[in-house]
Amino acid sequence: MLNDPQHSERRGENFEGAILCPGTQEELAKAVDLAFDYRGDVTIELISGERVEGYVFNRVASQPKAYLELFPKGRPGIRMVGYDEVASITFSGEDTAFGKSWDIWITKKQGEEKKASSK
Amino acid sequence: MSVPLSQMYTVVKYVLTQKVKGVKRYPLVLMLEPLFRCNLACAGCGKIQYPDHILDRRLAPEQCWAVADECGAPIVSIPGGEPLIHPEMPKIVWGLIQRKKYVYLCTNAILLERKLDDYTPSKYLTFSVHMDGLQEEHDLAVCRDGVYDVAVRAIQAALQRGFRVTTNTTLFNGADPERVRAFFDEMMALGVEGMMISPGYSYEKAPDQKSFLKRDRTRELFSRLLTNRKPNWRFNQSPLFLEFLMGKRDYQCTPWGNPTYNIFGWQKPCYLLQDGYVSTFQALLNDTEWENYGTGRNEKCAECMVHCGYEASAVEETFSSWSGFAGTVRATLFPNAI
Repeated sequence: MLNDPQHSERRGENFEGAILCPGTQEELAKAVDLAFDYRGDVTIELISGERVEGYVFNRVASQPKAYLELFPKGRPGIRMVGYDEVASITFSGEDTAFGKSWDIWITKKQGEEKKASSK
Repeated sequence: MSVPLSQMYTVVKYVLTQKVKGVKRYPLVLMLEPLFRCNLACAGCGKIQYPDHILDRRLAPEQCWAVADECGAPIVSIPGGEPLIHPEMPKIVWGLIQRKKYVYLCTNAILLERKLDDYTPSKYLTFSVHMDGLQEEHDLAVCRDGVYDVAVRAIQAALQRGFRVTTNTTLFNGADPERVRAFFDEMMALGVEGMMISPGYSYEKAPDQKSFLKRDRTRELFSRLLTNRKPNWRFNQSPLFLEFLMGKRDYQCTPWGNPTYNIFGWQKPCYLLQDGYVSTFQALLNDTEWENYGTGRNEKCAECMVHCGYEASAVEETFSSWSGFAGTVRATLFPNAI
């Protein structure tokens, strides 16, 4: 499914830039789950050729018509996309939750404390 | 100063009405998130990590009032993001007060002092200020120096103007019980109405994944905090919930007790987990597979002891039996008895 064999599904993995091309229903469901879980925008290429970029905030996997909902980037309203319309999902936006801010903050604080104690 | 009798009466009357009607799943506190934009990036928060166009979205006042009417909970808690960033927050609060909801506006208080003129003191409105400990601990938790001092000044200003003010404290691994107890002294000395305390939840999206408490550590920490309580400490929480945190009681979670509504809709299953959204409150109650969540049922719930899931369980116990009621009276009058 993934175009990059190095990507894994471990918690905390950064999917930024990954492209998912699901080949089976199971892969499709998994891809949509990953898009739903991703805290950044994705670009969904539809079977029709249309590309929709936005934030996937909901998915309803139950049959008969499974669908996802997203807020399109730069446009009002909500867009609903059927699972059966999805050709590929690209994790095109920045993963805002791939946190480095805590480490940066701690490093900064430790640096300040070191500086203060050396004076 | 303590919780107004009218609020206590409203909650008691509401819960007893649900019992008489035989309602099994009733909301107690609506968690209303009108926006996710925040002016801080706290290490333990998993609520604000979204692209900018999502952070720019807001709930309109009419949407907020409609969901409060739909849900029917007597208390509305407004977290975020930072609610005071919302340009129509005074109108939202006004409309909720018109509906006689007891509103807890949760804020990091950075904007509070300058926004006080937009609000009128009322028994229905409480500013619940996020304070994670004494100055050193709080500024570290919110990842910015100086926030503690700003918050203290804002609390003092709000109290002076006659507003109800409580504090809201989340504790993480490494919390020093003696420092936290000293923090309780400081908050009581400021004159806040009460304090709310909870272990932090291990949000998957939070930057800091190392500092969340596991259940056994939560019980150990809260036992040390709440044993030999000082008589002047006032907690704005069910005394049975505090005993749960201490490991004296055990509950299963009541996620529908604090239903959450935000820009995406009604959040399944609870305030902390995001497993999908529905458009009506009734759909939330009917379509959520509640049996899939809770301690022992879901790995994401394994270490959770947060008030948004378990305080409603404690309230349910108070009103479900005479022993529950008696236990609540005993825990309220004699908190150090066990």
